Amino acid sequence: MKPLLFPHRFQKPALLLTIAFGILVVLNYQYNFELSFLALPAPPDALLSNGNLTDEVFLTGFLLSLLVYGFSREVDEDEYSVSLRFRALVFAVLAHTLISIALINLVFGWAFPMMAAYHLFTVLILYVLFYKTQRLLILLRTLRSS
Amino acid sequence: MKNYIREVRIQKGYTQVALAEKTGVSRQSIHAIETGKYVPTTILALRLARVLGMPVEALFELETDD
Repeated sequence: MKPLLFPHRFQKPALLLTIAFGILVVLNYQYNFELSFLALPAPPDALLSNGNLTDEVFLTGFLLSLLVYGFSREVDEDEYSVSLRFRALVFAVLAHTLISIALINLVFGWAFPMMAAYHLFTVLILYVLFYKTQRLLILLRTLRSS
Repeated sequence: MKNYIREVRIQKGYTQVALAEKTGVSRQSIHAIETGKYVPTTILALRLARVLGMPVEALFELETDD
């Protein structure tokens, strides 16, 4: 059974977009950086929004580009890569759940929504980090063995 | 699961790269199988057996706890 993955050619552009959107998300979260052309014409109250779509655009862009980067086919994609992806997914979901429990029980007040906002990306970030690190370590081990 | 891929591969004169190319997987996969870190699917096991010219039972062996 072939896994449902994006083509390999998407990987590099997705990585570049992930880095760009990642920086923009941090700027938006920490310094309220907003793009004026994304301001809404209607009064904010009417739309239950802060009156600017910058954060929505940045967050969606970051999540989508990270998703495509993490799930785009490798040049040498095979059944072993699929098993590594599965292991990375299990790790990411477990870690995400444990972090969620820790956040709920240990973080209070204004810090909670801030931490929760960053926590939106934990599953994908952990999955990508775990999977790519494993691949790199295996490549190094293979090269060393020869 | 114990396997004799490495021994048979060397005996047949294949490098990891050559065996990987012939079986259509990555070199890392062959390394992971040889070191026991990954148990291949039936399809890959059969492909390895065909390339190495041995029956599957000669390449893979169940251990007592399997």
